[in-house]
Amino acid sequence: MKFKISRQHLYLLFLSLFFFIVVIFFAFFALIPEGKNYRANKLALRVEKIQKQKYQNFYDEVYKKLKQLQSDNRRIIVAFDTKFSVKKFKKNYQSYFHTLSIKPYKKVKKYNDFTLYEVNATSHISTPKTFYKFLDALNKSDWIVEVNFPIEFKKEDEYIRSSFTMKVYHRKRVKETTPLKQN
Amino acid sequence: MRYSYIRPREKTIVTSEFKLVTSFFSVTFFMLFTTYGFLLYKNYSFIKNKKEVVYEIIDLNQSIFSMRNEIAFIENEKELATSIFTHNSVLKESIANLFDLVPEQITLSKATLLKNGLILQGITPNRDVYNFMLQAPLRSIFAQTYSSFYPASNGWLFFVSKNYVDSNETLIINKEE
Amino acid sequence: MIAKLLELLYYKVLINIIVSSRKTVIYVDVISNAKSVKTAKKEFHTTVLTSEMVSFINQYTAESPFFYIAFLDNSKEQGAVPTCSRAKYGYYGLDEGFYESVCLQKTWSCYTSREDIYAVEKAYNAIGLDFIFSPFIVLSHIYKDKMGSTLSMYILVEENYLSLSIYEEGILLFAQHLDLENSQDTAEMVLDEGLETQDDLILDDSEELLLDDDLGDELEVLDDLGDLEDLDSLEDIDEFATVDMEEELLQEEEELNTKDTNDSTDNLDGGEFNEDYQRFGLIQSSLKEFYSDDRYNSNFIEFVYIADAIGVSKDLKHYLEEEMFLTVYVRKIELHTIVNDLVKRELGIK
Repeated sequence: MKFKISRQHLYLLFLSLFFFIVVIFFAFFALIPEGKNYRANKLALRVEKIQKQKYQNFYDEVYKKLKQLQSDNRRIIVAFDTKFSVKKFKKNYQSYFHTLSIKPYKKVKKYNDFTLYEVNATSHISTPKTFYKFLDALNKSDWIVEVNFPIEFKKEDEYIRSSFTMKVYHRKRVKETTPLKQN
Repeated sequence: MRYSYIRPREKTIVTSEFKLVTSFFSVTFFMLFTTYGFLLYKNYSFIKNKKEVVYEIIDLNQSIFSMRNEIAFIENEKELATSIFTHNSVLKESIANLFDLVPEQITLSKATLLKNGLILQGITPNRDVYNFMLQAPLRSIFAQTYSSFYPASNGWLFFVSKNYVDSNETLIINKEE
Repeated sequence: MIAKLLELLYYKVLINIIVSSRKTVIYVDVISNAKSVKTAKKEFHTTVLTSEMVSFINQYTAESPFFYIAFLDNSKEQGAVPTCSRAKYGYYGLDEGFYESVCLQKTWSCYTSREDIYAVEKAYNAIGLDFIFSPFIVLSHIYKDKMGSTLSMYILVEENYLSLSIYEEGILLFAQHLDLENSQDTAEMVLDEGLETQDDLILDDSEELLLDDDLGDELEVLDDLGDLEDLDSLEDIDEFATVDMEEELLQEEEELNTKDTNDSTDNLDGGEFNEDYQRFGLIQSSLKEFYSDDRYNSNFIEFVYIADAIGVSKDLKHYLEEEMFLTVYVRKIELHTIVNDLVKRELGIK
């Protein structure tokens, strides 16, 4: 049987074939690679997100710890920050002594990250007991003060003249704001 | 029309079969292209998001680093403060113990506490009291003790007691058991 | 640009359908780039559109979307008038609203019954028609080289129609579409009239026949002439007052080419003879009408040019020459080819 196809139908057939080939090519060389990319990228993103979550969790822990520390040691932190004031010191601790004189302080040296001020104090006390109280109170002062040698007690009339040095520790802080909580 | 009574009909290559083929393939192409476009967009967004996440991780890292520094610093401060407070307390105890150590009979005129030693000046009724009541405990505390006496006007003795600890140690006067 | 692409890719298929009294002939011409790639011709023994014809046509129309089907108008109610203005149709005795017309050369128009056009379109609805041509246009196309000259009559002879037109200096003066089948009576009538009114040059039937034979021989001899000298002698013959040179040469060539076939047609059979005589009668009466009618400026016609689509016998020529003292030239034409040319011209194919 002779099978004859008209010209128009032939053209149509070729057109369909052409389109079909284009579709195949497009699918194979554009769509499938892109699909592979899609899957790979999706996975990579997921992996990265998991990683980030780990970091986030760790961050949360550290943050919690930091905040805890900050709240626990608030007084100490503040005390380290406070600048020493002779006036204020006298005002606070005058009560423990009969007389109290403090030589103006001078910045002496650095102690690791801290700056040190040496203060000479001379006072008159009636009994050593007040001195003990003073020492107790000093630990709760606005500053971090270390009483240091040499310490001298000398009887002067009814009072004991005591002279001692104090080391005031001040934080040499590079002003670094605590980071805000990130999520 | 120049010669004919009627006009010829419209001739077009767009037959119904042609339309069918083109519409079928245009639908196919449309779907393919939209899918492709979707994939492109998604890839772009994935990569973008990943970059962002990476930056976030870096940020977090930095924050963690700085927080840890801060923590270290605070702990440093705390340590220092604690040591200072302890030192002050110890000092207080030492001074208290020192004054407790001195018996009633002996009166101190001057006490100088040094880093590595203690110098006491005072007046004692006699040598024995001094030796027994003061010198003995001092000796147990300090490594080196030196005493010198000066007779006083009323028959008592002025004494100067110099006591030193070992070079490596600092002055701490503990309460005797 | 797209047009060029389409030109390259697709053929043009030109089909023309010519319906005569008993048969339909379909001619197909497949053209690519203004050149004929394939031609086909098929005869169907029917005058209506059959499924056989439809499938034959579809065979070719399936090849390309650019197919054009032309049809030669074979209705009775048609003709041509020397005016293009529809308003003047009444002057020529035509009810203007009744007809569809085509204006040519801005001087004359051919017309046909609108109803007939609808009927034809409907009849051929299965395949559809693109062009419908009037035989007068076909005639003017065949003899376009001649119509610019002196007053002459041009006749297209189809199987059952005569399309007759008279031109002078390229202008149509008179046209008539004559139906062979239905005017047998009128032919005889006209013949009688002719006997009465024509001057003494016209003889009665029997004598006519005798004269015919003599003249036939002479004419044959004359037709065989090929030299200029002989042509000169032609001029000398007083019986034929005027001669068309070109046409004579053309006729001779044709005669030489188709000498064998011509010999066979010399044998007259009753039917043909009768038909040709009928034709003659119709022509005669038409001519009489032209002469007598005041509407047309009528000088005497000398030349008759016949476009022979079916193969008339020599008798018609003889009749016209004998009875009416006209110089007759018969050109054999292939109607399908002419119609095909018309279609090409319509479409602008060189």
